[in-house]
Parts: sequence; C-alpha cells; structure tokens
Amino acid sequence: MLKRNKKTISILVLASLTIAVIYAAWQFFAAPTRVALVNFPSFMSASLRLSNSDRFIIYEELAADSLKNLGRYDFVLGFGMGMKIPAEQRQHLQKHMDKGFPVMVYAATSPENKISTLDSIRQERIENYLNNANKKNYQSMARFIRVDIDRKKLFVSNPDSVVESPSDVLYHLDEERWFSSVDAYRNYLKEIGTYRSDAPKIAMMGGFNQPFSGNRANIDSTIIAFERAGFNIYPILSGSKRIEFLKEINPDAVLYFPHGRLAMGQGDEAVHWLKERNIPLFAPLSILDSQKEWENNPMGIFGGILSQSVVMPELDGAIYPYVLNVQNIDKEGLYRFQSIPERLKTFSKIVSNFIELKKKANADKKVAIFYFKGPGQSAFAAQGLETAPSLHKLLLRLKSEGYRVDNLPEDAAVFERMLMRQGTVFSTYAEGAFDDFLKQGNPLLIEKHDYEAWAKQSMPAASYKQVTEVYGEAPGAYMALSKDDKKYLAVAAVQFGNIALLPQPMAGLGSDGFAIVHGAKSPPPHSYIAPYLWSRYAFEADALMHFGTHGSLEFTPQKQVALSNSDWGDILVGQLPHFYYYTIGNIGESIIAKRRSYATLVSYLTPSFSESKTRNQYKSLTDAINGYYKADDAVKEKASLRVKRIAVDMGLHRDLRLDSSRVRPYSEDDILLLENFAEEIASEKMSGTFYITGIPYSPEKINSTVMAMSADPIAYSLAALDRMRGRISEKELKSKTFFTQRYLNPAKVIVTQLLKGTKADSFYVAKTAGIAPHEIAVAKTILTPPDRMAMMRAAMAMAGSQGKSASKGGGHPAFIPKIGKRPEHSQVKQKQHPDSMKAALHRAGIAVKEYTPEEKARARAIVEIERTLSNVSAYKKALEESPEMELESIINALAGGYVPPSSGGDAVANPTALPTGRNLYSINAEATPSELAWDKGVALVNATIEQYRKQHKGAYPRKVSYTFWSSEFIESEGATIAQVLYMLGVEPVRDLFGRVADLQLIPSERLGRPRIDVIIQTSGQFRDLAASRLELISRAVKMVSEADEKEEDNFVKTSSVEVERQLIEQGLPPQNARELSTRRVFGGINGMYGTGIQEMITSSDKWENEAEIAEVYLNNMGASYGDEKTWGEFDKGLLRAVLHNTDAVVQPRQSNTWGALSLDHVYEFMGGMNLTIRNVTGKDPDAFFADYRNRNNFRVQELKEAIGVEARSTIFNPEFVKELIQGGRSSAARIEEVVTNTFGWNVSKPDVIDNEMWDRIYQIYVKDQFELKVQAFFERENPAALQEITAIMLESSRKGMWKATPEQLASIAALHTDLTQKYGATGKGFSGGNKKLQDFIAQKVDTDQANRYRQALKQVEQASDVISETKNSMVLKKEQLSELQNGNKNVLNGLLIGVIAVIAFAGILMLVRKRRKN
Amino acid sequence: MEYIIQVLILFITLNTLLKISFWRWWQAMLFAAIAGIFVLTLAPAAASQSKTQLETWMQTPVIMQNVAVLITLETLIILAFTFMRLRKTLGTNVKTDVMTPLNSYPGLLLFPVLFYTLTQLFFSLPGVAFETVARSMAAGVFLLIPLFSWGLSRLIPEEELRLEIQFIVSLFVCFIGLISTVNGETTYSPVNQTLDTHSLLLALSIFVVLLAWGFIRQKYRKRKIE
Repeated sequence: MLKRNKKTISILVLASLTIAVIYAAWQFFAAPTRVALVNFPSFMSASLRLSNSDRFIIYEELAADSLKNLGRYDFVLGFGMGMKIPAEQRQHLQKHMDKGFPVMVYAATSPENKISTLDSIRQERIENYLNNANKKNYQSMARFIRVDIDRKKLFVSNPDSVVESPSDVLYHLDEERWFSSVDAYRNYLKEIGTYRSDAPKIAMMGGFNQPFSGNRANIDSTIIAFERAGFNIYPILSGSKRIEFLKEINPDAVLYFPHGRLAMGQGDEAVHWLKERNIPLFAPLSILDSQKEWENNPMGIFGGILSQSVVMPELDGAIYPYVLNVQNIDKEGLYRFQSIPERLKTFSKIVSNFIELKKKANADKKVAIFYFKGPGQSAFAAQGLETAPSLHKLLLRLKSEGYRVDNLPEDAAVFERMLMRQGTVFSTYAEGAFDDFLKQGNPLLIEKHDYEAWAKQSMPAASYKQVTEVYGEAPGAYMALSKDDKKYLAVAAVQFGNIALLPQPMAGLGSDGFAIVHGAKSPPPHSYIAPYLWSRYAFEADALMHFGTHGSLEFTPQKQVALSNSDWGDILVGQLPHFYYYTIGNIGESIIAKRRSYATLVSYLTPSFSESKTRNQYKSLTDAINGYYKADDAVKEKASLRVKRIAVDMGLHRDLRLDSSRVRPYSEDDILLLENFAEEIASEKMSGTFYITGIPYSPEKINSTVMAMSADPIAYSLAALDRMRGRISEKELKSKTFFTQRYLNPAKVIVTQLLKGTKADSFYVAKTAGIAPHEIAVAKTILTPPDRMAMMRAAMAMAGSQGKSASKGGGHPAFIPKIGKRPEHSQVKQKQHPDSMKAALHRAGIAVKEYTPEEKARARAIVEIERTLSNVSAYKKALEESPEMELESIINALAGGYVPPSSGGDAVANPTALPTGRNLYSINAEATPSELAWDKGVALVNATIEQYRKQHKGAYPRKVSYTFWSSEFIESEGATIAQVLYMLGVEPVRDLFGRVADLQLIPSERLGRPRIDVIIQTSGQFRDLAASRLELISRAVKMVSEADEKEEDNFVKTSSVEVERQLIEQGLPPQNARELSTRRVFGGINGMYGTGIQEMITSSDKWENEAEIAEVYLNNMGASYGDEKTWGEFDKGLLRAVLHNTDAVVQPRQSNTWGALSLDHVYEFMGGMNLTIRNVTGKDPDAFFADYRNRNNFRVQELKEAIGVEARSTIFNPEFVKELIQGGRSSAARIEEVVTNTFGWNVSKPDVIDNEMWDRIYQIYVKDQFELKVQAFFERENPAALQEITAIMLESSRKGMWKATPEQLASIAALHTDLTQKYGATGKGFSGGNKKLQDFIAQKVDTDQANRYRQALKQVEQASDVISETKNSMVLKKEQLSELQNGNKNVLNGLLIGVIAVIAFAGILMLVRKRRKN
Repeated sequence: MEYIIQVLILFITLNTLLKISFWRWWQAMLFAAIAGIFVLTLAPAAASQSKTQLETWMQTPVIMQNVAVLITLETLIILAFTFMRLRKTLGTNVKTDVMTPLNSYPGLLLFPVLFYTLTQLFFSLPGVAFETVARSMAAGVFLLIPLFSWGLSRLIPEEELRLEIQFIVSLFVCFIGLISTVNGETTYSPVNQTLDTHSLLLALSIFVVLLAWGFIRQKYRKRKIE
C-alpha cells in the first residue's frame, strides 16, 4: 500500500516538475509579450494596436495611477506629454525598475518623467519607430520589443529597421503613396482620374492622427467628401513647410485641423499670406471623446484642448470651429478617429458656400441681415452704434458694390421709420400692436406646412420636439395668425431686393421671458426659428449677417463650444456663411458669438472719446483747495471750511461719504480726496455720440480720441520713471492735480505736437523719457519673453543625460511635426516646479537672465513711452481709416475673402484693436493670470484690503466677492483671477511655456496677513471662455481650506467649516457638505449667461421686498462651476451658505465705454450680489471697482464714488448732454438706459443712489435745467425713451425710493401722459407693462387726462399677465414639502418627558437603595 | 423629540453596560472590540446620513413602529434574562440552553445607538476629519464599555440588585421607546384632532396599576412573613 502510494506521489511530483519546467520554458521562450501603454493618446494606442498583426504581442492600456499592477507585463511604454504619475505609483514603478523591469517613457516633457531602463541604442530605436509614425514602423517596433527587450525566442518575427516616415509631403487615399511636390501630386490625381482642372482647390493640413499610422478613417472621409463636393483637395503632411506648400498650391481655402497655430513659429507670416491671398481659413474640430460623450457634454471641449483647437487658430483668423471628427471605440475596443458623416457633408457645403461667394456676382447674392431691437418702441440695440443709420450706410455701400438693393430710401430717417414700422418686435402682451402690424407692417407669412418641412430638414426630430413641447404645435400663440383656414407664422422683415433685414425676435416667451437675451436651457420659440429658416429655405440667402453687438443667437442652448447638431447656434446658422458686425469694445461676448454661432467677426469702432469738459464747473473748488494748501496754519481751518462749504453745496460730500457739518473742517486727507475726485471728473474720458458705420469721427474727435489713447500712457510712464529716480514722492503721486500739472498736461502737449507732425524717432523718445537712446533697446530685450521651447528642450536633454535611468534625445509625438519648431503652446499639463526647471536649465548650461521687478517696471515704462510716441500718428490714421476698412471688410467677407485677426478692447484700453474691420480673437486661458496681471492683481488686493481696513478700524475683510467677466479677463489677461488667488494667499506655478499649471501656498510669513476667503460669480461668457481657470480657483480654495494653519490666519478654512456646518443643518450629509464646503465659484443655472434678476428688478410691480429678488438670485446663480465632474451642478442652499461673512464685493471694470450707470450688467451682477449678501448676512457689504481702464494705473475705487464720477461727467454734465442730443434714437435710448440702471442700483444697493440724484435727473431731463431743449430732442428722435424715463422716475417714487414732491410728481406725470397720448403707448418696459404704475400715474393727473392716457394704453392691448408668469418661472421649482411634513403634529414636549423619565428612574433607584438598606 | 431620543439612548447604553457587567472581563473586551470595529466600519455610512433624513425617519410612523417592536423584543429578552438570572442566583435550577443564550445576548440596540451617536458627532464636528472622529469614538467605545461595565459591577457588587436595576432600566427603555415611537411627534393627525392621549393614558394606567399591584402585593407578603 505504502509502496503504491510512494509511486503515486513520485509520479505526481514528477508531473508537477515537468509542468513547472514546461511553464517556465514557455514563459521564458514563447509566452506572449505584454506591453503596457501608459498615458498614450487613444488614437496613438489604437494605431499601435492596429498596426500589430503578431498574435504573440499584446498591447494593453494601463492608467498611470495603476502602476502597481505591472507584474503581468513584459514592458512598459509610456507617453510623457502630460503624464502625471502619483507619488505612490512612482514608487511602485521604481521598485519594478530596480528589479530590472524594462520601462521607457517616450516624449517626456519634464525631467521627472524622463524615465528609461533601456540602453541608449534600444531607446533610440524605439523613439525612431515612434517618430517615424507609420504602420510598418509600429509593427517593427512591436517585434523589436518582443525580440530585443522581452527576449523571446519562439513565435517571433524579426523587426525591420526603421523606415523613414514621409514628412513634408502631400498624400491621398493610398496609404503607400506620397508626393514631395505639388506637381507630382497633381499628376497622381490626374492619373487616378480625380483631378478636375476647373475645380476650386482646398489645402488640408493638421490633425491629431497621422495619415500613415493606420488610424486614418477620418482623413479618408474628408478627402472623399471634399472631392465629392467638387473640389481638388491637397492633403499636406508638413511641419515647417506648410506655408511653402500653401504658396505653391495657391488654394481657394485652407482646411486646418488645429493643434496650435497654422504655421508654427511663423504665425505672422501665415496671417500675412492669408491676407495677401485673401482666402478663408477653416479650423474644424476633432474631439478626443466618442460621439456620444461629446454630444452629452454641455461643455463641448475644455482646458488645453480648447486652447489648442480653438483659441490658437483664432489668432490666425481661423473660422468655423465646427466639429467633424470624434474618436469612437470599435468592436475590438480600439479608439478610432471617425468623421461624423452628416456633419462632414454639411461642412463641405459650408466651404462650398464660401467659395461660391467668391464666384457669384454681387448682383445675384442674397444676404439676410439680422439686427437687434427691444420690443415695442424700443430703439435698435447695438453697443455704441446708431443701428438704423449704420444699416442704411451698409445698404448704400452694398448697392454701390453692385448688390441688388431695391427701393432703398435715400434718406436715412425714412429708412429708419420703415424699420420701426415693419421690422419691429412685440411684447407678448402687445396684441393690439401686433394686429396693427399685421395690417400695416407687411410681414412675411410662413405657412405652417412650409415651416414644419424646413424644421424637419434643418434639425434633429428631438430638437423640434423640444420646441413643440414648450411652445405647442406651430405656429404657436405668438406672432401667429389664421387666414383662409391656414395657419401662418408672421415674420417681421424689410426686404430691399436681394437684401432682407430682419429683427431678431425674442428668444424666449412666457416662462422664459426673463431669459430672452442671455440664454436659458429652453429652446427658442417658433417665432424665433422661423426667420432663420425663411432666410435659408425661402429667401435662399447666400450669406447671413448679424449687425451690431449683440444678439441672442449666440446665447441659445446649449454647448459652450464645439456645438453639435442639436445646439441651436448650429441648427439656425446651418450651412450659411455667417458674419457678425461686432464692436471692439466687447471682446468677451464677441468670442461667444464667434464660437457659438460660427461667426466671422468684423469689428467696428466704439464712440469717440474726449475729456468731460467739466473743469470749469469745479474751478471754484480747485481754487479753494489751492488756497487751502497755500494757507498758513493759522488760517488753515478757515480755508478748509471754505473748501467744505463749496463741496457740500455741490453735493460732493455724498459721493465721497464725507460729513456735511459746516462747522467742522475737513482733514487734509479729506481735501485730497475731494481734489482727486474733482480732477478725476475733469479728466474722465467721455464717450460721445454713437458711432455710425462708414462715417469717421470728426477731426476734432479723432484728435481727442488719440489724446485719450496716448496722453495717459505717456504721463503715467514718465511719472513712474521719475518715481524710480526718486524725483517725486509717493505722496505727490497720490495727488491727481499734481499728476495732471506735472505729467498729464505736458503729455498732452507732446501728443498735440506729434499730431501736428513732429517725428518721434529714438532720440525724441529718449529725450522725452529722459534716458539714453540705447536704453530703449535694452528695455525691449528685458520684456522679450524667452524662447521657452528651446530652453525646455535643452533642459530636458541635459536632465535626461544626467539621470541614471534616463536616455538622451527628446521624445517626439506623432501629431507634432517632426521637423521645425513645435507649436507655440504644445499641450503639456505636467507641473513644473520653477526651482526644478531652473536647476535643469542651469545643468543644461543655459543662462536664464533674471531681471528684478524694478528693472522690469522701468523697462515697461520706457517701452510704453516709446510705443505710444511712435504710434500717435498711426492711431490717428487708423481712426480715420477704420470706418472705410469696416465696410471694405464686410464687402470682402461677403465675397468669400479672409478677415484678418485682431485683439479687442476699446481703443483707449487697447490701441492695437485699431484699425477695425477685423476678426477679433481671445487669449489663451491656460496662460492666465499673466505675469503682469499677477503683479497688478497683487497691488489691487493690497489696495482693496487697505481701503477696507481704513473704513473698518483695521479689520480685515473675511470674504470678498469677485465677478468674472469675459472682456476684462481677455483684456487684463486674468487680473481678477490674480486678485482671487492672492486674496487666498496662493500663487501660480508656471511651466516653461509660461502657463499656470499649478498653484502653491504663499507662506504666511511672506503673505503677512490672514488668507481671505473669496466667492466668485461668473458670467456665462467667462465660464465658456476660461473653464479651466474656474477649476484652478476651486483647487486653490481647497488647498487653502486644507492648510494646517490657525483659524485666525486662515479665514478660508474657518469659512469652509462654517459652510459645512450650515449645510449639515440644512440637511446635507456631512460627506456631501464637506465636499461642497470648498465650492466658491457660482454662475447661472442651466448654462444661463446672466443672473436673470434684471428683468425682475424692472418688473417692479411684481415684487414687494428685496428678499424676493435675493431668492431669485440665489436660485438663478446657484450653480457651481468648480470641476468638470460637477460642472454646473445646483445644490440648494449652497450659495446661501457660502455667502455668509462676505464683507466686500469687487467688480472689475476694463472698458472706457461703460460704467456702473451706463451698463445694466453692472447692477445685475455687482448689485445683485450685493443685494443677496445683504439679505443673507443682514449686512450691506462694501462695494469696490477694480478699475483696469488705464493699463498704466490699475486701481480700486469705491462704488459710490465711481457712480458720482460717472454721473457728474456724463448725464449731469451739460457738455455731455449737449453732445448726446446731436445723436439719434440710440443716443436717446442711452439716457433711458442710465435712468433704468439708476433704478436698478436704487433697488440693489440703495445707499449709492440718493434722493438728490433723482432730483437732478428731474431737473435736467424734465425741467431742462441746462436749457438744451432735451424734450424736443427726445420727441424728435425717440419719444418712447422719454416716456420710459418719466415712468421710471414715477415708479421710483411709487416704490418709495425717491421722496419726490407732489409738484415734481405732477409735472412728470403730466409729461408722461402727454407723451403717451401724442406718440402712443410704448408697449414695453416700465411704461408698458406695469399696471400698478399706470394706476399711480393716472392718479397724478386730472380725470380727463387720465382717461385719455388709459385710452392710449388700451390701444396696445395687454392680453395676459405674462410677467407674473415669468416671475414665478424665474425661481427654480422648489421641492414640495410632503403632505406628511405639512401635517399638524401631536407635539409632546420631549424635554419634559426626558426630565420626567430621568427623575422617575432616579426616584426608583433611590427607592431600591432604601429598600436594600432596610 | 431629540431629548426623548437622548434619554432613550442613555437608558439603552446603561442597559447594555449593566448586561455586560454580568460577563467576564475578556467577554466585555471582545464586545467592546466588536463595537469599536462597528463604529469604524460604519463611519462612511454615518458620514452619508443627513440630519433631515434621520429626522424624517424618526418622524415616519412605520419606521418608528418597527423600532418600537425591536425595543420591545429586546426589552423582553433582557427582562427574561433578569428573571432567569435571578432565579439562578436564588438557587432555582435554570436550563443551560435557556440561560446561555440569554446570558450571552449583549443588547443589540447599542449598535443603532452607536451609529446614531456617530452621526451626531459628525453633525456637530464640521471640519474635523471623519476618520479622526470615527477612530476617536471607536477608541472611546473600546475603552469605555469594559470600564463602565466594570465600574457598575464595582459600584453595585450585589448581583441581584444589579439585576433589579437592569429590570427597571429595561422597563424604562420600553416605556420611553413606546412614547418616542408610538406617540409624540411621530404620528400625524387631521388638523382638527386634538392630542391623542388614549394610548398614553392606557400605557400609564397599566404601568401605575401594575406598579401599585406589585407594591401592595409585596407589602402584603412582607406583612404576612412578619
């Protein structure tokens, strides 16, 4: 038995040993080679896998945070760009490497990722295979890994040596063919029979995937689609020779699949060539997600990809960021680039339509032009533009260019009246006016059947279903009529031959009434869709144009950028070439228009600038102040009292929050404040009458605008140089009068001389600046950014060669051209600590010249002087020529030409925005805040804190609210972001490309103050432009909240704990509450762009107290935008909790064209936030402007003071009024807007609008205090504006905000009712929709007049209580309390029962004890 | 309501500690370790509970009625234990298969109490790491359960007295449990209906009657003996 067992055991042991040996042999000689691909872009890993036909070589993707699972692999091949290996995983990797496990990271961009255990020969071989990306090399690489790295002996195929991959070639569908010359390529096309001698030529280049790497379905589809569309297509694979190829091909359009700029390192040359050749550059997008993921992503694209695919090409003037390609996963689990067939078809049609514009005679071209106009008798609305005269000018020009523009009135006024009559927009309640319009307005009638057929063609069925679900079946209730048993949609339009002018209808009705302009999630109504579809299908327009800043199309739902078939911008523009005439003064929103409606922008001028001419008004005050400064100590008090008397009489003390006691003199600080205030008003830049297209400013205005553009930069730079030289003191510099006399006035003299023809050569510049001529060149050198790419490449190479396990040579990803420079902003996400970089550069022997902040500041001042002095005459020329250039640019764009790119901002803030007529671009969000913006942000934070502490006995603000707007972001390069970060006590960490990739805490000792908490309200525009910066701020808040610091040093931490506590109290689980407690960035729900409270504030009959408005704000702006996963998430109660302890509100201001009173969005955001904070905390926060208007003098100003300056230099300034009444309808509307905004401020921050302000409005605009015949102006140009102004004044009295006298009220009511009878009811705004106000007005006039007034109102019949519907719709649907919760409870007093129970128990215990004792 | 719950928690804890005081030291340590591990394990779940959710549960009649059943059951078990243990102490023979499970049952209501207490700690300590709170509580539970039960056995060394107190505590648990679950804020009546005092009065009456009956009976027996 034992023997048999022994035998069995021996057999088993032997068998086991045999199996083990066989297994070991298998593993050693034959087992499949498993290669882990770490961090490879999916299209690259797909190419590697597709190229591999060997069954014994297996590629698998492995996440960088799963490196501990390396055991099953034979080799790790990493892709270094953007690779982030967590520290713990790095340790695992190192352990494996120490045991001899083969690892290599390709294309590393940071020293720590320069990892390789291979010897240099093997490493180079792998790199060469990858660099020469093609199927053959990829296959050989796989075999090389198996044979040479994994060292397998069986089932192996020997690798071929590296085959050099073609570069700088043309290619076609045959993967085996490429051509180094255009002629050869053309011959090939002829050979295969696809060449058409008369067909337009399209040059195609760029893209993530290589044409020879196997994964190229999208490339083939594009080639085929464009050939089918009738083009000769020239696909180019090249890095540095792109321009050479383009020149040789001489295409009719360029198709660029972007990653960075078109021509790397030759950006300006490319722009120059495109301009010279006058051909459009299209930049369609490739998405790195699957089609489904992209379609479901409300962001579209985000972060670095957004920068590389959209922002950079815009610098080249690229248009149409139209999504063509996605990466779908195939059955084998491989990511493959694919074109979306229907989008590719549409896109080829779009390109065809552009090229058709080149060919078609102007006489045959049809253009649909949309303009924006409020409902009823509202004026046309375009920022800074007199719309109707401008449109008239454009039509005249089109006519002169050969367009068929029939029956155009010669007289602009007649034309404007036509537009007002036929091209109008109606409130939903103005049914009477609509009936009148049907009879007299000659609207287009679109039959329901046609409309539905167009809708079917133009949009997905689901999108149209959304429309019918919200607005009912077409034609709906608005702008609809029935005739002869047929239903029609009425479309307002004025047609002049081949040109159709259409007002942009309201983008929301009924429940979306409050979100008309700035978007909401709801689809647009039938009445909105119809004119666009009519333009395309009935009118058969060749081009679409939006005229003036801005409309609502670009704010329709939903994706932020990279639109899909179901986004309304994409649907409504369709295949039409789209152009947008847009002001330079609103760069932020222009970019939204560009990206969300595929618009080619053509920029236009702002109104001119001049000084406010108020110096004389303040002469007695400045004389008194001078007297005070000169007075001996003995009479100083008396002199101060004299100053005070004048100031109080002028009401200046109210603006500056000074006391008005006539017996207590002002201090020297107070007098300095008054002096600066008066000086600021006097030197404030006043923008004049609205601009009219094609008409240059008058010579006087050109000179005053050039003066506004030039004097400040010269004066501030000279003062800065003197300050550095110690010639003036900081105290002297604080006096504006001193500054004006010493620097500003001389600077004006210099500018005047230059305008008269003085040449500004380097000697002149040097003499003016008081420097040696060679210092100009030195200053320029200091400010020239280093060649970061070259530095980095050198540093990488050196760092690699010194590392034990690193290799030499740089990596080279397939989608970056092999020869020539890399794109200016190649995508590298890896954090680079400055010190490690510096060390790497040092090792590399690269001398990085460091300049001190003082050297940089001096250089900036010198360069600013040089730039300004040299350009004065250029500025003048640009202003003179811009109007003509705009028209030429429009004509050229309509002829399929190229619109060259330019930066934006008003001419004073950014002179390079001139000349106009160009396609505006944005900045790279990843590089913000720029170094300069950071310095300015730090200074602004210090100023904000200083001012706050001055007003609050040395206390620090605990939390500061900031508003993020898109234009200020672009123009200041992120100065507000810098403020937020510095307020938190965090500083940016830049990579070698200058991008802010990471953050670090500023040590408390260096910060020297507590870390102050922040709360951000972002506009939708900012959110869409710079989502990654919102994420960055969220990271900063989290970092500070988690810092191990004392509570008194870290208000952020304390606040986060408090937010968490409040959220727990509100019923959130602690886990969620903690996650939410560090959220600080909030914005509109459902992708909204505004706050939605403007309309509520102005619908003032629908609310009784401000808490209702606060509630709407909390609901509408309560979506948080912190990270990609929770983007736009709404958590009820979170914003309310975060707002606690907010002590100050800071609003950026970068444009010279608007202020708190002239732009409604300021009170909407700043006022809305202020009002809400007041309601939540019970304390009115301090309100400041971060004023960036003067790039040489960023500063902080109290809101009330800013309003004082604006009011006194504009609407209360006779010179301003005098100029304004020279303007037209829009100029009158401008005053109406200021009065509306005054009302808005009065509601949102009552202490900045005092009774006297309303009194002055009354005096000037009702009583004509300046005797300028203002009423005659209004009656001539825009009586509806004066009706509205008077209505607002009466409403502010009705609401108790203005304590008007009975006489004042009677006088205003009489004027209002007179105007209403004479010109009819406005059908809009306060005067049209506020029934309580109408009753109030009727009570203020006699019965006869009241009856006549009511009769006039009746004519514009008010059908339904639409506004009350909209008000309710503004608030997110509140969670309904369950009936259970609402039920009455049987309440027992828990405390009583508890006490009784404890007492009873104690009693019983005592009883027991007593019994025991007994 | 909150106060009633707190008193209930107090009595449940006391009940468990009293129960454990009849165990050996290593048994108490083992139970404390289990309770500590329970706290650590349930910490993520406790951090995911919301105040309002707990309040809603406590105001949901069906849930609280189920809790009442559990409380009653546990009370029954503990009462049975006190009787059996007393009989054993007094020398009456009690079957091992009856006594052992009764003796081993520690009082499971302590676990929901621990969970509830942990949630309350999370609610009241915003900003403190959940792990820190849970670990501290687990350590506290691990140390304090044996310590207090040992303390109770030292404070009341007479076993029958401790059993008597346990009996009373159990009655209180049951009583308060009934109040807090079947009555009070947990039921909702139509708007016009006044406080439902019937069940309360009934419970009180039964209690008073039985108490009086027991008291009188005992007096009577005492007098009889004398």
